[in-house]
Amino acid sequence: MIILTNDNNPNALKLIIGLKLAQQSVEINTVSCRDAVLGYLPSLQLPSGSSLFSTSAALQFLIPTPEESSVLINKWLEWDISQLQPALVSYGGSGKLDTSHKPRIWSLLKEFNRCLKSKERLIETNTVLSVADVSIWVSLWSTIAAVEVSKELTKEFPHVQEWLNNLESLPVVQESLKEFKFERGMNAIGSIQAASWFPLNSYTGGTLNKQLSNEVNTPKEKEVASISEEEILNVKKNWTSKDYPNLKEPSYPVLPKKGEKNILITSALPYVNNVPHLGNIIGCVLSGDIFARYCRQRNYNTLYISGTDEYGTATEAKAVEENMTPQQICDKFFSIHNDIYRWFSIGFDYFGRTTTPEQTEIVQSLFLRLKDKGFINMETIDQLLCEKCDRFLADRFVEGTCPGCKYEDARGDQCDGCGHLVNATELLNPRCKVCNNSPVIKPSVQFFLDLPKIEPILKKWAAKTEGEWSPTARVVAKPWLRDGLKPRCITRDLKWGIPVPIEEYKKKVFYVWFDAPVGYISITKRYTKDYEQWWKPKDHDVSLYQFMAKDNVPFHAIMFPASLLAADNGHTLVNHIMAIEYLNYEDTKFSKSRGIGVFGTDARDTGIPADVWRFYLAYIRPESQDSNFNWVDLATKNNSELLNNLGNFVNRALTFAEKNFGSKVPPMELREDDLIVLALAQRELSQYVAALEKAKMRDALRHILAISKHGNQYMQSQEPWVKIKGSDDDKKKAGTVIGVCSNLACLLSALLGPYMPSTSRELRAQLGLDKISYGYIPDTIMTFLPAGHKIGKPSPLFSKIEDQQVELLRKKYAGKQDSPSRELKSVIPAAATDTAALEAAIVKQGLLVRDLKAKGDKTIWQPQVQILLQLKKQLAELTSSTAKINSQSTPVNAKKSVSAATSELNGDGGQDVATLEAAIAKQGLLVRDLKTKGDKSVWQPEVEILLNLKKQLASITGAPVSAANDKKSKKKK
Amino acid sequence: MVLCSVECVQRVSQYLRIPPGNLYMSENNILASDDILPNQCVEGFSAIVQALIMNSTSPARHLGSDTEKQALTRQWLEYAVLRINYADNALNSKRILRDLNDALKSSPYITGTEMTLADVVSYHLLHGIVKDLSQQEKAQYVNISRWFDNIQQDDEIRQKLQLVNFDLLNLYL
Repeated sequence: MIILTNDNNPNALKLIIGLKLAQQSVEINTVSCRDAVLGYLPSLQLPSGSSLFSTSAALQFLIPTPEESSVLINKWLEWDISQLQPALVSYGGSGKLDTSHKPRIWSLLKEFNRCLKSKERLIETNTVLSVADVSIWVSLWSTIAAVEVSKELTKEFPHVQEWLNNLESLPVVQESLKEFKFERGMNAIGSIQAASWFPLNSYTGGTLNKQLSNEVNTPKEKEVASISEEEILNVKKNWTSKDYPNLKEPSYPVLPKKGEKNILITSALPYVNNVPHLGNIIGCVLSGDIFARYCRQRNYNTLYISGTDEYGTATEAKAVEENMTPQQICDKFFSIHNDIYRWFSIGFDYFGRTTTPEQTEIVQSLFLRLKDKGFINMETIDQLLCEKCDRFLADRFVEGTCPGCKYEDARGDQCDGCGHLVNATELLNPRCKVCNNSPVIKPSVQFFLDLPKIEPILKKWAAKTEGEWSPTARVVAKPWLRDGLKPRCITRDLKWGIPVPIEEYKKKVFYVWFDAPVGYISITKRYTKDYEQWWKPKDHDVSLYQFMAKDNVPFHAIMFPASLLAADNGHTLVNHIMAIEYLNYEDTKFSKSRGIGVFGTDARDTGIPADVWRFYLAYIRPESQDSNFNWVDLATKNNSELLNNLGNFVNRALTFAEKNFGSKVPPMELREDDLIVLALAQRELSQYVAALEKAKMRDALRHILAISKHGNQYMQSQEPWVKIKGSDDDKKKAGTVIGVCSNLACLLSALLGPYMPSTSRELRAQLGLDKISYGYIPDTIMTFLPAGHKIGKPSPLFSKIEDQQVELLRKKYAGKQDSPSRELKSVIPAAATDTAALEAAIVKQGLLVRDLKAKGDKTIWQPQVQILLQLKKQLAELTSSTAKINSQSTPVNAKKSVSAATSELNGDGGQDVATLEAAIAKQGLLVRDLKTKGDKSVWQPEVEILLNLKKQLASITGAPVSAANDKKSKKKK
Repeated sequence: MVLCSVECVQRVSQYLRIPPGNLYMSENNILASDDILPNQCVEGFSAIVQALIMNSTSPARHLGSDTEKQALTRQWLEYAVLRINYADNALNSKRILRDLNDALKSSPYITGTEMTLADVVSYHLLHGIVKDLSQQEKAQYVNISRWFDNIQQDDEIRQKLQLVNFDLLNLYL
């Protein structure tokens, strides 16, 4: 059987002896704690595939406990793990013996000694050894019996000593020791500690702590109290004993290596026909870049590629529009994209494009391979032909009503309302996007990818890998895998694309969704001729991370893997689909097609540095739900987090070192306060690393800011500016504080690298470090800058964004687009009919949502809820603006009370009230109906709607809602 | 304060319908019981729970139907003594919740597809912590929420403990 263990962990010996006693084979694999189940080692791999990280349970599994001694065996196994081991770890886990824990060990040994009196074994059985004997013997023999106090053992606990010697000489023990070489003593204790976790105060178990926790502590005291001694000791150890590693020299080309971490990162290829907006940037290229930079700063072999997606009708149409050839359009927009990404410091290893001979070759050979293997079908399909424009309409040129959710502006390939892919011919009431005519259906022969045939392998693959996908990716892909796949068309009757490599169909081209993902491979091929080492690895592992917004998930989770799986060529398949939700712009939707939002070029024109954009976009990265870009928030985050927190901390520390210590890092002697701040920072560091390992960049960013927050508090409480004027001892203390702060600044410069590369370099220059490279991101805090290190010239890293500036920017970019509020203003004269229409739409939408919710899947009903909320907001805006206009138009009435003003409302207002009342009555019936059927989760939202409607009515009429409300809430209780 | 207390064993014994014997804390602060077994003192929380299981009408149901499942149950009982025992400290509870949430990621019960006493014990130990979790935390530890909600539906397990509300519709996504 297989044992997984970390290096030098004596607990593995327990399992080995157990296996020997059970006459089973022994295989030992050394792994790192990070790869262990829950972080606990050693573990025994069971035949079924699960594993046991409890050595006691594993021993009892290997050697069944005889019933008559089960109580004793259970008792002693429990004693070993819950009493003895925590005490041993407290005693020796710091690297030297902590004598304050000696009495505890001694009392345990005394008890144990008493139980061994006049016995050869702890538990006498008819077998050679009981598992309790094995377990405790290993715990003692490999730790305390091998340190200097062991001499006292013989004297004070003779029975224990005799028992130790006795068991050591057993053949089974000797054989087991040959299987696993390890160093006894302090190192053994250290290894146990590294791969286990004994909660705070686990052996004092005590009355003392109970009292403490009942007291109300100030936040600061609480924080300090929560730092365990173990953490302090670890910090102390790392501070002196570790060397700060350098970054690997960047190689060209970057290639994966056996036995190392090889990370291949792609970001969704942006369409070439438009300028990317902020949502696109954080959705793919920036997220990919932050992660790639992190990986490089961790010395992983990292390749980050992306490029522009250039084929397809959208490009063709844009070319017609601008009177250029498609290739000219691509060239023009490729350089726009390239410039924008460069300005955002997106560090691709290679930024390519899909219009290359490599792309053609790979796509065509993939197609032929799939065809040979029988995954391609031919079928005559009906296509939409716009007779007026005289062309077959590509999906993106058709709009109509979604057959699924009835959203009216569904595109020909995908519905924005429910996110489902649709076939253009299935749209209800299709219309040509160019001329608005109804297209006609004409037959044409096309190739299909036989997805149903691939489905079984795809499902198997997805089940294995989807645990590593972001929640958004899982949620979007789920209905696909659940509902079953249909054959999907992969060719089109167009010109701008890769031709089908079959003579009689040469005039057809591949549909973009089939060719675009292949771009990842072809672009890698442009980068290096050894691209197959990344895409068809032979004897090494490559982890593929793909970043995208959620609309791209179906292609990366279903279509592309399906094509590669069917081709069965040993391609690297995606391990981590890092999809995120949408970013909204000032509460409306970013949309390329509707032209709403800040675009890449605009960001450059604002005068706000790229690093601040990067920081803010990462800060609001829509990881779990849609998030919102807001100018005021951008300024606030810049001013509070970057300027006042991070920038302030670093600048204070370095300026102080410059003025008082001649620009040198002063000598440091760590005392308790210094260790505490380091331990607090260490916690944040660990969480930062853990978050980024999972590409959770929004969370990780918060841990950076937390470190500088701790640093600021530390400096504030230590007051080095006072100490520097005091006694020699005080001066030394001030030096330590500044030294620690400089080291934290150095840590921050490394952690900041992935997010704010230019700032990170600037900070490194100020710290007197090589500013060409970035710092290594370590797992633990150590001495990064030794005493005497010469720092550079400190200067502020960030500048303030003023309120006026923000206001200007907001106006500037709001003016460019037609904001919905403007549209609303323009329709206000027709308010009455509009309100009625909105009301009706709300009721209808409400019913739809309720229906969908009953059926389950959030991905389907969530967008509908959004629509509902949007409608309601519009209604609210409408009614309030109507009211405003009315009161403005009759200034005399403005002074009167609200209710009086209501009576002055014209006929429009009266109709509003009527429609609202009608809606309320209807909603009331609905709620009552639902309540009788039960389930609160269903009717609760409807009640909210009802209350909302009533509130609206009240705001128009001025009548109080309380009466109805109170009744309702009483009933609920 | 330790959570693997006399009270907890009493609740478990009520669930198993087996008398817990004379429970007390020994001088070493270890839970002990005098008369679960004739003329023998059982020491240790996990040891007592296992002894109760052995006395129950169907040990296989509570400990697991084969040796592997039994080992897993023992492992999690040990986890309970060693770690959940101290979950009333906020710092410890975080890691414990994280561990359990991971362990419950792909199985309905702590040890896999069978409910064992490890679930019952963990439920009782964690009740005080889970009931005070915020909605956000419940979402963060969604596997625990799912598991906990499942376990608490059994009145014999829940006994007099308060039902914890999980707004599942919002939690799952």
